[in-house]
Amino acid sequence: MKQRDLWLLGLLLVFSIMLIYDLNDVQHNSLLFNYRLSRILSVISTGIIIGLTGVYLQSSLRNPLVDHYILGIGSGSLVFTYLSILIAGGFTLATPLSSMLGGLLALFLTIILAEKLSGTATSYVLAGIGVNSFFSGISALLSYLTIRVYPYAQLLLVGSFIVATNDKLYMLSIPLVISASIMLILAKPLNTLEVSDEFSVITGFNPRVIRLISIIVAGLTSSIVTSLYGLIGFIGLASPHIARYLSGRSDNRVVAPLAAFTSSIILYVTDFTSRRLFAVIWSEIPAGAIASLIGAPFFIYLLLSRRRIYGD
Amino acid sequence: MVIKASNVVVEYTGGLKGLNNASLEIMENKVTCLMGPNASGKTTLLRALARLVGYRGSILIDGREVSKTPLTVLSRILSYGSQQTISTSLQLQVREVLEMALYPLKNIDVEEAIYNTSIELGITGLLDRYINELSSGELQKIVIASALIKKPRYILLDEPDAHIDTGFKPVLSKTLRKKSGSSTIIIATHDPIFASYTCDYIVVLRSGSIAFHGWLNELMENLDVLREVYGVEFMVTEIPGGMRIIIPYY
Repeated sequence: MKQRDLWLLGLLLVFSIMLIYDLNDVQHNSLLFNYRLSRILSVISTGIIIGLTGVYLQSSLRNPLVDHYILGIGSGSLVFTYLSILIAGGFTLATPLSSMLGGLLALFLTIILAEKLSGTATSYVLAGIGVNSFFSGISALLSYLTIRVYPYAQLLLVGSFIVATNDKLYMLSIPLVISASIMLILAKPLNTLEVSDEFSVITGFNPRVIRLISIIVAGLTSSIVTSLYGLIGFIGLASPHIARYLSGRSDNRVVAPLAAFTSSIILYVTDFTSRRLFAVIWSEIPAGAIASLIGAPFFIYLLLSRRRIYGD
Repeated sequence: MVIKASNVVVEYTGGLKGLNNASLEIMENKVTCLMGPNASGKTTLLRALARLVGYRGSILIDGREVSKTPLTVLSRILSYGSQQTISTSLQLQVREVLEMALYPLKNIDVEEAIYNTSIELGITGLLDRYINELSSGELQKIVIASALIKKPRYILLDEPDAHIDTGFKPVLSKTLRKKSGSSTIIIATHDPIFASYTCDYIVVLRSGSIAFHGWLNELMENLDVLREVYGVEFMVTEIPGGMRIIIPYY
């Protein structure tokens, strides 16, 4: 058995043990059981969407350093989430719709800026930092205003599943189905896009259409996640890389499901840790904060290893 | 004639013309070489044939206008290879890229196709390497392999003889000659020696227009064309075995 298979098996084992422990714990209390189940399903669905977002963005932009958080989609959608909550006086159906607008706005701003810089992988990161800082500043300010009408407003800044209700889970199912089904169709064309736009044309695909659809799907679905549970960074970046390592391949027909799988396991482990381990010592720490704690060093590692190879 | 281009104009942003009223006909199952100095329109012509660039005028392949042929149809009958075609910064294995080159074909044994092509071009040792870690010469071999692997009716290669070592040139030349039995091949090259070994028919371009087209031996009788477009002297010499080749001297 290869080392890669052992990793995969280990992940599955950890996931299964935690899941059994988590549900067994509350099996005699139907109210708690329903909440726990809804929360676990929310975490897993979010993980799948975020993992797929990473694959869409990294493949279509041919850039291993990006995810929805780094490109500013998260903070852009958060600003519009707050604005929508403020205007409507609470979380409504319009909130996710408004967040999609913000996410796409931030994404296209980052792409335009990055292309103006030089269009390299690193310029996307730099442009993302600029757009991210701008929207993060606004969202931090807005969070103080929003908290008056929506008590969980500040949790959205770091991403938390404490607000995982069935209503939100239903809303989440729409982007989940859209993202997964479009990936089924686009996995092969996205593979060719990873080689070059010309190669994509020669193999029978229209690279501009594929890229546009991928970016829009990634932008819209991850914005909905942000409006529901807040900013969850770096998992979308790391999970496609972990999937490529585990499978030893770059084929998105293998990488996408595996990235979705690893992303949801990592997110589940962070949520589990936040409400079990840390809750005992302090109080519940948002899962997004723990995700960043693990993900940020991974991002720095990626950045440095890339610099060594390409020097850009 | 299987490919017929009439009054083809390709204009880049800024008004620069990559092709200026170029008309030519390409014959079936022959190796046609496009020659001419830098920026004479060789790459632009190949890219127009592969629908990689928009054009005015008409390019008919099998009687079908290229710009109106769906990419899915074109990708089954035509392949194009240049160093820009495979230029990823992501970690993709050679084997994966060759597999992707076969996407347009259905019901094909992928493993067998990769094996046959890699044996033919001597690249079996490269299959598990990452594209972004290959040397220019190694990458060129993969570019050629990705164009040949699906055995299309039309093979377009932009400077396939660039970057490769002298030892590989005869392998490439023989492979292309063999493929011309079942495919129509068009290549752009700067090297008259490689063209002498490989090509049946020669098209010489100058500033986006056709300066000469004819069989290889017709060009050998008409070296002034090459002298004029390149600005150096050329001669025809006989090598051991009796074959005649064109060489530049300066």
